[in-house]
Amino acid sequence: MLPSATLLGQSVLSGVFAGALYGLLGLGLTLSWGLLRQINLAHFALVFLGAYLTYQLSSVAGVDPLLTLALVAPAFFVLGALLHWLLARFKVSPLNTLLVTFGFTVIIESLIQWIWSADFRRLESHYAGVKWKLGALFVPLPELLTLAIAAGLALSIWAMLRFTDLGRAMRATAEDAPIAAAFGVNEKLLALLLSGLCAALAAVAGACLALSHTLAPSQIYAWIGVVFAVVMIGGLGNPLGPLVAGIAIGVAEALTMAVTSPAWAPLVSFSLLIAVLLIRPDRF
Amino acid sequence: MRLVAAGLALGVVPFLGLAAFYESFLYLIFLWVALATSWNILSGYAGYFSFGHAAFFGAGAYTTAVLAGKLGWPFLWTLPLAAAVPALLGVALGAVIFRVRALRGELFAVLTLAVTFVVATIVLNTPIDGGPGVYLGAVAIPGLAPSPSGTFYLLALALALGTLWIARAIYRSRFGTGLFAIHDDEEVAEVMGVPTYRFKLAAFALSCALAGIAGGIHSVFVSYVTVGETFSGWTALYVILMSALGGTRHWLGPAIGAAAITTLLYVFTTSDYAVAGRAAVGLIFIVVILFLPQGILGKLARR
Repeated sequence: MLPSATLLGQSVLSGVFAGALYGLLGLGLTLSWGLLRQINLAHFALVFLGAYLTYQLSSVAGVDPLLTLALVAPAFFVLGALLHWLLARFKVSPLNTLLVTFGFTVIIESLIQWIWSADFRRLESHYAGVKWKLGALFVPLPELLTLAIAAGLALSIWAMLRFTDLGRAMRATAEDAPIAAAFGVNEKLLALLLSGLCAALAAVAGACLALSHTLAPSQIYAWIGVVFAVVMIGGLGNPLGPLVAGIAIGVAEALTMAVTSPAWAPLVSFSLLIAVLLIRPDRF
Repeated sequence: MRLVAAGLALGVVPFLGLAAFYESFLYLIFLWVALATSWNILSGYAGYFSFGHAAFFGAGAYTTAVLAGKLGWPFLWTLPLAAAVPALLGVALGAVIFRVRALRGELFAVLTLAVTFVVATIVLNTPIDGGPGVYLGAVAIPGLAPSPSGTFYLLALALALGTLWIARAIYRSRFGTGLFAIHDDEEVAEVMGVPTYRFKLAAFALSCALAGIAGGIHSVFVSYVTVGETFSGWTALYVILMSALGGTRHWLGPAIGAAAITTLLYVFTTSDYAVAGRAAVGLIFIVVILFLPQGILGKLARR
């Protein structure tokens, strides 16, 4: 039995929105993995820490959820630069960055649970209730904002990497660090900047997450699998990759859920990830 | 010889009439010793860090859960199949993965993690589980010791010692030397005549089979298995942490790490500081990778 056209349309739309969030979460991850060879699991913990800070500042201090970023994003920039300094100082291999940053993830998770408890938290903002009707379909404002922010950031970072001297220097360093250094690129400073940028992106993703999702510390791990898949399928270091792959996977998952049972949805991203790894391992 | 002596000495514990609490605590230590040591056979010796140990542990657990819990087989008879099913799964995966040269390091890690999710999703959505979990409360527990907890103690002890014996035998054999050569430089190993593909496949199969037996025993111990608990990503991460802490380049390293981490977690979870215990695990992860890359045994051996 096939579901109705409206249900399918709503599924596709919710898939696009889910994919936008995958893409936004994956943006910082793909940059640090592709350009710095650091697989930063702590990115997910930072996203949640950012989301909780947005929740706190917005529901207790009454700041607009998106304005909280003015405070959180610069703070996270510093955290990201510090993390890079630590990983570079100990010359941690890519596999081991996965393990070290997992350690940080667990510590941040414990911190969140200690401050905000393991209970679910929901941010009540003036964005949450706004919904538009587009034909027979409902378009919620928080999700639409997430999509706009994800697309805007992905495009501007793509343009930055492609057209500015700073971006060219970053790509050159990722390609061949000694040669880039010989041409006068300050590799260490660039890496610190990039790592800080990735963490600031985690803050943005966190604010969007807080707008549209209920928060719980254990949810940190729920996102890792699918965002990893999105990042790898999109191509490491490609800022547009996670968004495109995220929307494709989000829609495929939403359709799987509409046609079969929701519990089959994880199979979509992971079988795609396995297929990409087996068929094109040289891409990574 | 020393392993046999240790086995005989530890084997009398269930007959001393201790409280079930001690037997269950030691059971957990032996279980994690078996899991960490089995992981180390491929991942430590050959350097292919698998994040998918939960898939094979879970495949074994569900083999026993279906055979003993749903079809009424006697518990001990299910264990050979709890080893065979994950081993076949491992061989099938390895036969594909180990042919693709680039799939090592972090890519092998991500791939095996994805395999865990795929296996878990399939088990959840098919009659193997179907969603509600499988009860094993009615499974008869063989009377190897005066009490059920004593029986589980003996089973886990036998598995832990058996796994350690296998890990040590490999460590001292040409097979083990070949695996270490793969770890150090796979191209060089191949040139020196190490059959890298067959060695990796054999090590993976053994590693999966032993994890499967551990899963089979544990499913009856907990008497109720769910997909979420059984295929939890934490299993793989704990096993990696234990092995890294003890030292992956020695057969005894993972066992030392397993005993230390299990004890630590037990102390924290039974007191009121479960959250602090988690944070401690995270901190140990960071400290071990940054400051103790060879593990405790590696550090001691270098002196």
